[in-house]
Amino acid sequence: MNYTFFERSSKKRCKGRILSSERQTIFKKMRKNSQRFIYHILLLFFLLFIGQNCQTKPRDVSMAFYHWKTTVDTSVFQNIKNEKIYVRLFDVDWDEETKSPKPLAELRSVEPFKNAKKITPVVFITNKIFSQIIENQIDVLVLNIFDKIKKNTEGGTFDEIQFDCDWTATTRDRYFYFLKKVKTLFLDKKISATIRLHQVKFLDKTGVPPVDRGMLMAYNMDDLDDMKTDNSILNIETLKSYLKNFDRYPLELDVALPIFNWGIVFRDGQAVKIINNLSKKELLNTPQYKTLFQQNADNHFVLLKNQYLKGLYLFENDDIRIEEVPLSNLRLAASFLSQHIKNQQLTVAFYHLDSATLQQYRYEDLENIAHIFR
Amino acid sequence: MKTWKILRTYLDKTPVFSRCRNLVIAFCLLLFAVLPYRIGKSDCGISTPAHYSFVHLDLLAWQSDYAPYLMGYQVINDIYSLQKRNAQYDDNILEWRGRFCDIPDSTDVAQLVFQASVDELSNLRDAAAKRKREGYYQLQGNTFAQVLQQNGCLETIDYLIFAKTCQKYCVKGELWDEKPKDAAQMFFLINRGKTEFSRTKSPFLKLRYTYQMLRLAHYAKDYQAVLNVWDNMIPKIDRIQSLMNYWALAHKAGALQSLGRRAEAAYLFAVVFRYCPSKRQQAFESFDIRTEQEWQECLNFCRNPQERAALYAIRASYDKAHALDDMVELYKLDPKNEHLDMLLIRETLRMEKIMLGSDFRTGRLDSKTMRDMRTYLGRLITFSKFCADKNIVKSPALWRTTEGYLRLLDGDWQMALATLYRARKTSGVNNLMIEQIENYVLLARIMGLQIADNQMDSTVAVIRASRAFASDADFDPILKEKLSSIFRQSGNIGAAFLCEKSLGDLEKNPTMYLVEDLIRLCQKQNKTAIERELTTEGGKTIEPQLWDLKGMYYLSRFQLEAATEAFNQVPPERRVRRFSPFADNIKDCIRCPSSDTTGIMDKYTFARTLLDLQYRANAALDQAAPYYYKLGLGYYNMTYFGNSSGLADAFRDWRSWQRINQGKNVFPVKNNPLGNMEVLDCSIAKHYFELARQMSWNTDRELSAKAAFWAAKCEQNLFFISAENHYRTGSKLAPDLPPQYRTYFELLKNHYSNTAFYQQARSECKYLSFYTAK
Repeated sequence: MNYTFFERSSKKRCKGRILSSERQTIFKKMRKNSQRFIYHILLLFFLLFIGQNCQTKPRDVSMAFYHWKTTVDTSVFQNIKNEKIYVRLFDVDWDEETKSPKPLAELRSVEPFKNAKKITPVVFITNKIFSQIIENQIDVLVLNIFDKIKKNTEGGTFDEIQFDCDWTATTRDRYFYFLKKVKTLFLDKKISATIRLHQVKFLDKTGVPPVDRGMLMAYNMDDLDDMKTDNSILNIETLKSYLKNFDRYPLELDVALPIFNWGIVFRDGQAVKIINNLSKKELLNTPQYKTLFQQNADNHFVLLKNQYLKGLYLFENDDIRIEEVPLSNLRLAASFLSQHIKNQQLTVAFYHLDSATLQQYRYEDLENIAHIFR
Repeated sequence: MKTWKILRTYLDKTPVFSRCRNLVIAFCLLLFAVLPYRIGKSDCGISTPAHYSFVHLDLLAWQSDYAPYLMGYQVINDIYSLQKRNAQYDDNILEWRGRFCDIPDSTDVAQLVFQASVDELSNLRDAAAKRKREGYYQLQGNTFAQVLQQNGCLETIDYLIFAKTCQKYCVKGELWDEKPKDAAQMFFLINRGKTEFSRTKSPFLKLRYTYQMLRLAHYAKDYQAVLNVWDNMIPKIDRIQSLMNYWALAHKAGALQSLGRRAEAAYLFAVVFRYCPSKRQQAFESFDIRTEQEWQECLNFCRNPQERAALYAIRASYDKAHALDDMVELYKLDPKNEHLDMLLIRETLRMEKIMLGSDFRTGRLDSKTMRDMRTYLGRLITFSKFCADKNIVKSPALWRTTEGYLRLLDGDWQMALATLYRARKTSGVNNLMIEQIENYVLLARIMGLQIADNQMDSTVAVIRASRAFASDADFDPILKEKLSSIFRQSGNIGAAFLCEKSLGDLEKNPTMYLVEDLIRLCQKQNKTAIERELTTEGGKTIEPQLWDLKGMYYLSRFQLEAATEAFNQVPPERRVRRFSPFADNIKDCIRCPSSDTTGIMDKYTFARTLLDLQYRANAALDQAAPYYYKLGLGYYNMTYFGNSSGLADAFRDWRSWQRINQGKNVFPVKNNPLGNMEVLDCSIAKHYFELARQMSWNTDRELSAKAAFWAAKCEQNLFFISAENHYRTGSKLAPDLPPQYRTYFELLKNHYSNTAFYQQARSECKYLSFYTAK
């Protein structure tokens, strides 16, 4: 845009003589030009304002927790506010004796959760079910699960039910059929399913479950059994390698992030046991453990003699790999995932609600992690 | 291998099969023989087992009730499930029969105890009260009912009625519809039990009433009530021999455990484990000690060294345990304990699995683990030697034999041989042990093979002829692996490969250094017997096959001159005429017979024809189009997509379709380190088709259209092997070809739609019809 005040005035100065009528015309033009200038400035501000509003409208993010135990530790409720809780009701596994699915590890009732703002019942189904089951058994399984959920959730209100199954390309048809059937029984509820990272990356092979929402499980991503694995729970490089095809994934996704730790016991080069809630800090700071372990690497501890540890009898030379999730990695994971999740509404669920794990993370820190998704 | 051994042992142990074992084996062999040839062909090559095993499972004292628990869960699954008997059911019937002087039949006892209803039992009671021989009652034909009725055993019948009434409260509910227990009714029954208990004179029945009351309290989940019943009732019963003592004790142990008194509970479970086979499995699985303090408390509960030994035996039997330290303690407490022998075999099996496992053999285990394993093995050898020397264990011969085998696992085959010869002379060696020693000795001789020479030939011949070699299927692969290692060390890589793998494996991906080394071996004068064996098949040399592979290797790389020279080395009578690479079928059909029988040729002729066509095309100037077209056909049909893929690739795997977009042409194959090579590149064929299309553009529109069509097929195949391909094989939908891969389809549509070939091709080829319809 060229504004020509000086050009014109210099022209007049050169000529030496300026008439009053000419002067008026010049002032009029000057006024007109300055009006145009202000108009353009205002327009620019308006556009900037609109643009800014469009770009930074925050996501609607809510925080949640998973409760995955069979008994309810009511002390955990003191640590959380009114977040939604995904409550595992029971597992379903294949019973070799009856050649049919059977419920396991049942949480008797959602009654202890009645003070939670919202609960979502979760049912974990082993993939083995769908590799063994015959088609007409699926209909029976759906009915059984329907009845059991109804019975176990008496006294609680919920609008979503979640199914957790690590299905594969070979079991997907039966699992998806199961989900479709479930939907016909819970017409007034949203059905969600857990989605593993590989199921997004290889979505052409594993397919997309016929549900209303997916819960992306951003943990347990590396090979736990491999001694060379550094941290099977959360590894940022592995996570990055899985962040593919999110633009093509048709389901709205929530995200589950890990807040648990454990020790993997390796014996003769093989993973043989998992010790839940075992931390590096505990091994280093507990006086009686100090003489029993030798720290071999940052997160590897070797037993110096046969001994009991957290209820398990372990042997000399057993190598315990401690796997923890530091806040810094949670933040990184959240920021990488945030770039790939498309939906505006999002629940960030932390796995899992347990008095031991909640001692290691401050509520505010978890809240900040969830905010990264905004 | 393991499965076969288990099956064989099972057949021997099962009376029905032991009689017709040979028949069963013959049937299995026949079944394998008549399976389609392709199964054998696709699995050619010797698969290396995950680990070798030379321990006779019979040595486990198979008949011992302890074996499944001491051998770990895997063995429980492998062995126990095959031998499974319902110990609780069987032993209960046995006890009832014993109580009545073995007069009633087992099936009749079972019918009365487990199946008869309360009504039937009440009816029997009425009859027994009258004691009339001829009187009618519902269970009249039942020998147990007859005994009870004729002897007026009202107390027993009352107990059976009571037990039947309790039964429904003491079983697991339906899988999906577990009803809450009626605790009030259960306690009502406990009280009724107490009344019946006081009314009954027989200590046998008093004990059973107590057991029923304990059971009811346990299922009602009132663990304190269990202890109360125990404390109130058990002291009132005269000591008698009955399995109910242990069944009741198991309930007490369970209640203590639920109340948090784990050490005491574990001690009681150990007692049940030691004395009661019918509850042994539950006791083993319920034994739960979590701290060193609990362990010490538990030891303090024991009243004698044998009970303490049982605790060590249970802990040593934990899944994947390193049992040696507990074995040492067990030895100190009770050296003749039969657990100790079985733990030794269990540890030997564990060491064998590691030391003869593929991870250890191939060095995949990390160095620290390998070092630790060797240290542990050394300690186990020392302990075995110590026990064998002291001669106070139950079977010193077993310990000496095992010492020899452990030395072998440690790599000291000379010391192993010396120990095994010593074991032969140990007192108490039975035939089974002699057989085991022979196997170990044979293995030591295999391990002792060092240099590939004529002496090794004769040693291998002796090894193969031995009875032990035939007795264990693992000898053959381990011998081959050893020979392979010897050949590899002496630089004979081809021979090393053929020791473990087959020519069929090499065919999947002809690897030049192996092929050339094997040709050299075939041409070698004065071959050793093993070398002769390796280089012949059915009495004929494999050299022609190797030249054929060499030719295919070059052809797959489009090196025609080299391929022609290699194929020319194959004697004419060994050349196979079955390819028709110049057929121009509109549809790609891999195994369809060619309509053009005159064009059937062998590989040598094909390679020469291609060379000839190249010369003619280059020399023909403006009449070269038909030659280029034919060249295109040849180069197309020899690929994975064409009708004569066997020209350059002996093994076309349809599963490769799933992986051809991975940017490589060699794909992994199970048990074959070379993988499987496919010829996927259609770009040369496309080049020749394009030349043919251009050169016939003005002179022969039909030929030009044909060339364009084949070029379109080449382009589509180039898409299939590109990373952009996400097409799901087997889908009924056509792949969504990106524009850069459908230029020839567009060309056909825009410039050749008026040719007769185009119309014909559209009607036959759905792809063309689909892409040109858009």
